[in-house]
Amino acid sequence: MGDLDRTKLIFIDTCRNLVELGELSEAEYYEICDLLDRMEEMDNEQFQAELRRISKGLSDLIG
Amino acid sequence: MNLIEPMTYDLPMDLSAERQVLGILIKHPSQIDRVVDRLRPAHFMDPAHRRIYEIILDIYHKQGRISYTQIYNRLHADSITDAPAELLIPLTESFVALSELEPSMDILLHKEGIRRIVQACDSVRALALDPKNEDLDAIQAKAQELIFAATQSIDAAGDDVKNLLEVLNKCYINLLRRREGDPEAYGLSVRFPSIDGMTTGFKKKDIIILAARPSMGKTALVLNMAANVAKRNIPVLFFSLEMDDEQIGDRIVLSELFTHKAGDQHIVTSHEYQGRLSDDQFMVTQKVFNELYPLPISIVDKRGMTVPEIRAKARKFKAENPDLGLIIIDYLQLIKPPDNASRSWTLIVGEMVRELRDLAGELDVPIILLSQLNRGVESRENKRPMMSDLRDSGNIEEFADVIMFLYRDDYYNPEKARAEGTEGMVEVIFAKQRKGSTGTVQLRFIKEYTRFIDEYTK
Repeated sequence: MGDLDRTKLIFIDTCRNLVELGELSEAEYYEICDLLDRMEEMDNEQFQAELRRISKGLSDLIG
Repeated sequence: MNLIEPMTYDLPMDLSAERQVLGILIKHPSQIDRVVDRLRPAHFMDPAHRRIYEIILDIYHKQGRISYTQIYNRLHADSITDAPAELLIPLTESFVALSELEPSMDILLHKEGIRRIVQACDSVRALALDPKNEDLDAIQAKAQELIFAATQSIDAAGDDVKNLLEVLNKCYINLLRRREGDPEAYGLSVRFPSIDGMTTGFKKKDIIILAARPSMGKTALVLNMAANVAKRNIPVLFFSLEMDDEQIGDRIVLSELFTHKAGDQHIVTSHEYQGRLSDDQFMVTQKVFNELYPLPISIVDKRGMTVPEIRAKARKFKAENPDLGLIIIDYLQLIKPPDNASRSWTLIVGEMVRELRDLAGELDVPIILLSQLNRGVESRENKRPMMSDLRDSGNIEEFADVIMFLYRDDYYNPEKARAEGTEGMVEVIFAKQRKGSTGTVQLRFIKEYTRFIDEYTK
């Protein structure tokens, strides 16, 4: 559990940096936050699909 | 050690326990209900931990979702740190088993309790060493306040909410004790059957107002009560803002001398007590002194005391005498009001009575507060005091649990009393009893001995 939380934090920190760099919009960022909060409610495929919908570039990055 | 230099030391803390509590709360937000009444942000010594706890509480109160992402975003918006992830990642590394929540909270409560004591000591030290503070009494009172506040348990919030089963259990146990004739099941008996009959004893945490015009016997009655209570080895604390300790002592002795008679005659009259006694009289009086010496009555005879000073002395006394049974304050109008001229007298008096009632609750003892009635009573044909007579002296009636008035008809109509044989008859009027009925009982006042007797009770 601790590992997942740590990974989420590193991921959200990366997303925040992408917002600062102009690579990700604020709206996309908050959608990703919401997605991460609901992550335990979905399987891996659903999560990937949701992430791709929000930001294809980010989804490809995680791959 | 240099007393003047500020002391430097590390305050006790446990950062690992702080991380553990936060980690558990973020992982198991439903546990916040168990924590919210017990832990304040000040329980977290690390400023970042404190801020994270504040954010958790805020989200909780707004019924939002508690998660690392939400807290991350709040920390980012705060601009407290450039790297919120660095503050939060260590929390994810804590062992967050639910069973660890209670022990970790206990550690935080303990550490914070120690810190408050240390900080209070620092404040007392600064207060005492400040050359601007010259009044020793004021410094002592303030120091007691600080130490008392620092040593009060703040982990008692859970006690505020009691379920009915818990409350009824206590009532039932009292019912059984009364049925078994256990005197402890009642309030404090003052050994005047007519008064005890009305009140079933003065209850702990109650403030009892005993009000009358001057010369009705207020002080005499409460001194009689104090002696009656103390004879059962129950400590009594008497604040006298009018009489000095010797006057009070003489009154207690005189009152006891009343019971020593040879046939119908008193062995020592009140007049004789003030003069030179014969050998026989001296022996009797000495016997009375010997009987009174061990009584646990303590007297504070100081004029111009404030409520905070009374509170400080009462707290100290209670700490040294945990079985303190009764506090008496003689009397309300002589208590020095706070320096706040902008407020009305009514509000100030009401505030003082409320503070004294809070003190009764805090120390778990009844407090009898004497009060002078103003001259308005004299202008009426019927001079028996009424509740409205208290109104000019502030909203006392609002805060009092019991209001008793004393009235002596022989004071106003001596001829009539002589003719009817009612000299010395005192009406004790119960005008208010939060936990009992109202009504009037009668006592006889033997003025020269400052002694009340209960000869009317059948």
